Amino acid sequence: MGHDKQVVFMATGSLKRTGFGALPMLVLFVLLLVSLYFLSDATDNSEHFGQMYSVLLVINAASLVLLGALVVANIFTLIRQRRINAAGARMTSRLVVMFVVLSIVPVSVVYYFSLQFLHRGIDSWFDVRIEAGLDDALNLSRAALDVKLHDVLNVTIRMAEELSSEPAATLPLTLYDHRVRSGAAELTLIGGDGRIVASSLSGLTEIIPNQPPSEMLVLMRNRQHYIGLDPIGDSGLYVRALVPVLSSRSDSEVYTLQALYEVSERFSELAEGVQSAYTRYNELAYLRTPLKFSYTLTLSIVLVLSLLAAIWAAFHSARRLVAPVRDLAEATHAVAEGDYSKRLAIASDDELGFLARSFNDMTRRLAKSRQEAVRGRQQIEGQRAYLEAVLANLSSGVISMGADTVLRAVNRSAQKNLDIDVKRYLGRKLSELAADHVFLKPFVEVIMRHHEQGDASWQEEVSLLGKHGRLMLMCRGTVLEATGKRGGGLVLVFDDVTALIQAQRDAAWGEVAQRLAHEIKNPLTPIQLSAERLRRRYLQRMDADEAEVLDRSTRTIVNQVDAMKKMVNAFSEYARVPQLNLRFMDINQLVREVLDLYRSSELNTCIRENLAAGKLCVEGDSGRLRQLLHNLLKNALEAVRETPDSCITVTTRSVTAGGLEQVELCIDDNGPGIEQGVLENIFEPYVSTKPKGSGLGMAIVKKIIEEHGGTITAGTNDAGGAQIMIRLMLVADSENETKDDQQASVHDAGL
Amino acid sequence: MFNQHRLTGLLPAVAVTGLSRYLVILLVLACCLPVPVSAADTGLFQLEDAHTWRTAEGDFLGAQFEILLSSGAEEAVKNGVPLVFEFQVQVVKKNTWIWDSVEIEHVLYRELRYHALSESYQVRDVSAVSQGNYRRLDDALRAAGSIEKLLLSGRVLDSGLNYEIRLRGSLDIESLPTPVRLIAYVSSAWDMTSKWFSWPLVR
Repeated sequence: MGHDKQVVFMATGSLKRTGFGALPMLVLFVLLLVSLYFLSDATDNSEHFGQMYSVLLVINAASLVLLGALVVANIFTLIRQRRINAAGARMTSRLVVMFVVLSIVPVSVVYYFSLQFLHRGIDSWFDVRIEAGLDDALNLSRAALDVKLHDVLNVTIRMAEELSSEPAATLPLTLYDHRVRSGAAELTLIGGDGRIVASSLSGLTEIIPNQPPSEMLVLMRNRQHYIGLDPIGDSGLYVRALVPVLSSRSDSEVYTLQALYEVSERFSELAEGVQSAYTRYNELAYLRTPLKFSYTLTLSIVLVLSLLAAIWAAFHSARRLVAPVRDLAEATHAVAEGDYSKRLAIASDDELGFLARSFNDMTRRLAKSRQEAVRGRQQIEGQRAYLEAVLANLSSGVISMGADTVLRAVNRSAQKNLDIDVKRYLGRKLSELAADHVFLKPFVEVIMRHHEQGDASWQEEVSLLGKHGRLMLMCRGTVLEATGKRGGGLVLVFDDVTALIQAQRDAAWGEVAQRLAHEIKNPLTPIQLSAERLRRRYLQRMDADEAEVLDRSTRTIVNQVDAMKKMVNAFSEYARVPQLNLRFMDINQLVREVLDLYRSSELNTCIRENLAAGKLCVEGDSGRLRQLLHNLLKNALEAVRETPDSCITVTTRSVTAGGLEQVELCIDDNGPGIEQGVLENIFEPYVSTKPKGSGLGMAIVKKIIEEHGGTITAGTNDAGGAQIMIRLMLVADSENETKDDQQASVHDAGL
Repeated sequence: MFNQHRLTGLLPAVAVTGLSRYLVILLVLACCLPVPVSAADTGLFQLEDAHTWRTAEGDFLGAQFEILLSSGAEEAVKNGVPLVFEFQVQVVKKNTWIWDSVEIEHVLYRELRYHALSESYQVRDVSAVSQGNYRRLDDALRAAGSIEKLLLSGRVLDSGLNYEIRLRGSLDIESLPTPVRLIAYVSSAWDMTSKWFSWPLVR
């Protein structure tokens, strides 16, 4: 349940993704608005912010660049999210586009009309009539002044003429007189090099006369007059007149008389008013285009700021709106992928909050259901594993198949009992098993027959001839009830009862043999003795013919009784409870000893020995095993009696079967071999191909091998002759010696 | 005691410009606004003559700048827009190991405006409150670019150190009316700034 705490936080995540929170952006907008207000005021060339215009412009531009970068970053982020198909990216795009369109349209309309009004408003400041009026006013002022200027010039010329004859010593006094008489504010006599020769000033504070500009002095050198209006600092308007003073003396230099006449205060004020208005109007007219540009620029900055702010706000709002939906989409995707631990934070009590709450309930229930399903599956798996373990360890073979006889399950014992890889046929029809393995045909036929008959439960013994001889299977079939889509199938349980039946048969034969021996052997001796007595008593007394009949009859009785005795002894031998004297012995040595006996006799049969190198030790009764070899060799010799170039080969070797080390002893001959009918029951009592055989030889051989815990099989070799193969447990050589010594010491002690 | 040094082979120094000015230029260029300026229609602001001399009162500077207005600027003046010329004079102490330091700096402002009633141009020394009226614009500009006698330092400079005089003149765009300023920043017609001229102060 640790994952239950994994909660998707909606709003904070979106804010972090945006890069700026709402509060900092709000502060930025307010600062920008203040800056824009200052800029707007500065555009008006106001005293307050006029000097800060450039700085304000740069601040606003930088802010716009910053805001633009933020918007561009948001756009790029959104594009990247759309490319990777991030949850909510498409909805955010749609909302942003919608918001932007909704904001751009009205802002653009307002911008357009504001611009129109602004330009028209500025244009309305200017009027041709006003301009003409101002020009007229200025010209009127000039005309009014021109009269005064003309009068003043005449007065100054007259003064210059009077001064021309004045001696230099009286010039200051003369200038004073002239200034007083003419009403001039200042009279100055200037030399040719620009120095002041004499002057007379009306003001008490002024002690230095006003110097004419150098250009005027140049004019004077050419003996020209100058009259003009001169605004002098804060003193107002003055009329400046410059007239050359032509001296009567030929050697004297040419002076220039400068006269400054103060324009009356009233006239000066009016003229300045006209001048100021004219200048201001002209300046404004000149600034009309730049002013429009400045206002347009300011308005454009406001527009761009508004648009960028609207776009950013669109991003911010869209993300906030989409965040719950995006989180829900992500959580749904996680649930679809099997992660039921996702929980949504319930940020509001509206429909989205209700949706988040419902989603959380759903995932909680899904998680619970999945846990229960997992637990149930684990239980089923456990039960199945347990059942498989039980079936695998059953000694009975179990095969289950569907109603269509397709194999569905098989256990280990089934493969062992049938000695084939049955698992290879899982999912295939049962008939394919019989097609690939012919010896299983009876087995399959029995099953199919009961299946077709619809037997609910049946039991039948099936006899198969497998690779290792007769195989007896006890089969029990049960029809399974149909469940769901699956139709009723069949469970087949079968046991390998070959050994059990064989043991029962052997026991029955032993019982029969024992009874036969007991019941037959007892009367044989009196019969033989009686026949011999008849022979002794009556043979001498009878004539030759009768004596011959008696002799033949009694001999026949005695011979037949002997034969019956041998047969009874053989039965007795077969039925005898073994009294084995087990010792560790070398099979190779035993084989050599037995074969030596046969080589010494005059036999037309070649006996070969193909023995493994070294010792092949087994724990066995040497006498019984010797009898076994004799029986087998006799059988082989009898089998090859009619065979030219007859040959018997005895082979020993060490083999590993079923993980056990075993000694294999094979006796092969090149005789006619064993007929198929006989081969099936060759180890059964009274099964013999020999006319005079008791039929117990091979049965006894088998009994001896079983007494030693070995196996014996009969078959046909490559040469077409018979092959008897015996396998006994191999005992390690060193172990043999030790045990042999111990047993020898025990036997010695027993003696 | 009179020691006069006339300029020969003035050395241009690194131009010092305001950051805000370039930012405004960039901004306006970014707005792609059409600025009606032709390449030939440019003003001129260059140093014509400069000299220093020493008296008992101290070191003095005299200089004459040649100022020519572009047609745009001239039109602005004739329409009543006042122009302010700025003259920067620096006495720089030369240091061997560290950067040079400005010991003394004078900034002079001359205002040129047209007086419509008298049809004359007025040149006013803003700091000295002196004024001259000129019938012709050339005379007014010459008067505006003239520094007749500027006292560099009221104290005697250390004779053991090397000093350098640096001088530059320019049209003060920030003094223009606000609407004109934007255009003036980006228009070469209004770009009237002389190079920095420097020469050693010989005593």
